[in-house]
Amino acid sequence: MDSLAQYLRLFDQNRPLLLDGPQAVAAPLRLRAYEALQTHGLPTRKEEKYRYTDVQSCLALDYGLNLHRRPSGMEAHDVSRGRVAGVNGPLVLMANDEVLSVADVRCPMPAGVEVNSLGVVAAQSPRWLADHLAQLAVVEQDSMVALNTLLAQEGLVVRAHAGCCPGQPIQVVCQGASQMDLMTLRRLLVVVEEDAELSLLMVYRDAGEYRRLVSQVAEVYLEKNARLHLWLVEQGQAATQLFDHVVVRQAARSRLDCGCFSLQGGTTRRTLEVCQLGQEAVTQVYGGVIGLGREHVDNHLLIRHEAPNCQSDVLFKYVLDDESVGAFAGKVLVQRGAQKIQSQETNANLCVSPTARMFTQPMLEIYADDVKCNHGSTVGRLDERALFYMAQRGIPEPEARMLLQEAFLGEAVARVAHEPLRERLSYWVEERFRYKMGHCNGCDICDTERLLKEKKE
Amino acid sequence: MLEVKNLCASVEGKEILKGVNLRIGHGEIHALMGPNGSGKSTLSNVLVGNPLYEVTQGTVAFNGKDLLAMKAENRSHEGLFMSFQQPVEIPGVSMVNFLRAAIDAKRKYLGLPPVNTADFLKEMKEKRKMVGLDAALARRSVNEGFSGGERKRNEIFQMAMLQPRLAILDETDSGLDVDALRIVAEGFHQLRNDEMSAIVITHYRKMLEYLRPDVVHVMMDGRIVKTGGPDLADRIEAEGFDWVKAEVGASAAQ
Repeated sequence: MDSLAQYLRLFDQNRPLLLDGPQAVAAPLRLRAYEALQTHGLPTRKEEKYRYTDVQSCLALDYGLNLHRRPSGMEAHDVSRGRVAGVNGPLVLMANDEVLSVADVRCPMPAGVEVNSLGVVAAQSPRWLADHLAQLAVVEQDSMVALNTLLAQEGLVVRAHAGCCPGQPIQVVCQGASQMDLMTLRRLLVVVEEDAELSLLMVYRDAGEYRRLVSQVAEVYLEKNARLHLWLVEQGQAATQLFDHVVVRQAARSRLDCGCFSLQGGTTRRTLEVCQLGQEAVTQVYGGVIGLGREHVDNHLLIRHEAPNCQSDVLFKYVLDDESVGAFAGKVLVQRGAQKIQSQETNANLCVSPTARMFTQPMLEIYADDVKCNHGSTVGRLDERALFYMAQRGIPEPEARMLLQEAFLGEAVARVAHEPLRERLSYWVEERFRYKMGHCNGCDICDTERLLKEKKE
Repeated sequence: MLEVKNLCASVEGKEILKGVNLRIGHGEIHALMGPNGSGKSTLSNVLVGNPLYEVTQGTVAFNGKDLLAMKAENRSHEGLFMSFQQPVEIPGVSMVNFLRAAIDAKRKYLGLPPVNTADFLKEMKEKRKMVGLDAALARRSVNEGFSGGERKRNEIFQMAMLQPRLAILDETDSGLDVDALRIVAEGFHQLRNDEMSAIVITHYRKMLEYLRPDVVHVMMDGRIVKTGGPDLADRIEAEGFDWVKAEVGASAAQ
């Protein structure tokens, strides 16, 4: 209760800052969030939804909040180092919740796509924003959403206008940066209008000595026949805590392809809720997790089939080493009347050390009678026979283990349709396992850490 | 090249090898025959260092080095190769990456730089043709979706790439049709040189007709009980193992 009281008090002390002026559009939402938090409190592990992640202890640290919006000190070119090499396209750079730059002259935003900070959209199109903000991520349903809604001041809005079809993905690099332990709360709003197609790559990066908690609430609207590739790639550090809450609403014949890759971090909790409201919607969600050290990665999924003739396909793969902990809870819910649904959910996991732990809970809840739904999960160790086969061919055990782990995650990486990103992910996966082996070849992760260190010195 | 003395080994506490003695010279091909469960595969697994088998007694010298003290990968680097009776599927690991990792590890052991990519791919192509392995198979994951025959052919392909000094072919002929057997055997002969030796485990004379062993051994109940020339294989093919059993029984009774 202590940390909740602290955040409510912070809100009370800063009411004018959070409710008036440019923040007016969020004012009614914040008041609802305040009430919801007072009623429900912060999530506890007794709540089924947060069974595997201890939110209270994550929030117990005394993080600072940047309510007065002091600049982070990071400049666009510093953050741009964190871009995914090889992935060309417009680049959006963020430090914490602050948008530093939106594309540039070398690679402008394509026609039909608008990308702005939440503040800009609030000033320019307050009514449009009010129609979309906090409509999908409902404060009464999740206290972490309520906390975010209560205090988040900035974020990013991406809008693909009807019929637009930009070829290259938009890459958003979100870099954590502060000279103190910091909590960042930000919003992401993505609207893909009718017949539009968009590819959006979100890269979460964090490095340095300070502890940071990031709470991001993303609301994604896919209108009729819209198509979205959404890739969420996390490269944090041991002290990073990421709470990523993504809610997607799909209209008829829309298509979502969402890849979540937790390559490095401290504690990650991702909630992904997809609601198919229109017929013939297709949802593909896949993810790869590498757990080393004491990393904790918890993916919580809900796919709601509300309309008939839709499809969903979920594949999550974890490789857990050392004392890392993984959790996967994925529910596919088929509502009454949502006939002819085809759904597949798979969660496969490797615990490669005796102290790594995995909790997995694939669930199906079906209220229609003409559907084809499968779900399954496995937790296993590395195949000893394969290890020996490789040793007989001269491949030393650490290398053999790395090849097997890489191959295991490869199935999830292979689903990334954008080839340059897929190649980069494969490279990162290999580097991450090599890092474990103690001889990384100067990968991006270590490079960023080194640069930040040099900058500080 | 290889000198096995009084080798005893067990698996899951059960003693399988009960004092094997075997000596193989450079360039020699030895055939190992014997009824099921006599310890032929155990002997090959012990030689290549399979951790499931525990050596309880005996010594093995390989080119003067203590083989049993080495890790499995170092035994491979020293030139020991086993063609598996049941090659393992490794989904997601391509043949190219697999072989490259193997060859680079061996080169590192020998103090050589990593292999040049172009040379490596060229060699893969040559060796693949030598054993008649389809190009599409070489591009796939290790043994994934391979038929029994393709797997065996893939074993010989790997042998060709790794150029061992002692190759153990553990029932490589099982699952191969007559044509495939001929191709594999021809591939084996092309790879053979005066230095390379082999242990061939088989139940069939056909394989031995192709490989022409110098020495034939019969294993029974964890020991080598009879050693002879190629004609020994002919007699086993014609009469089975009963007469060997009888001979062994008679000499034990004396």
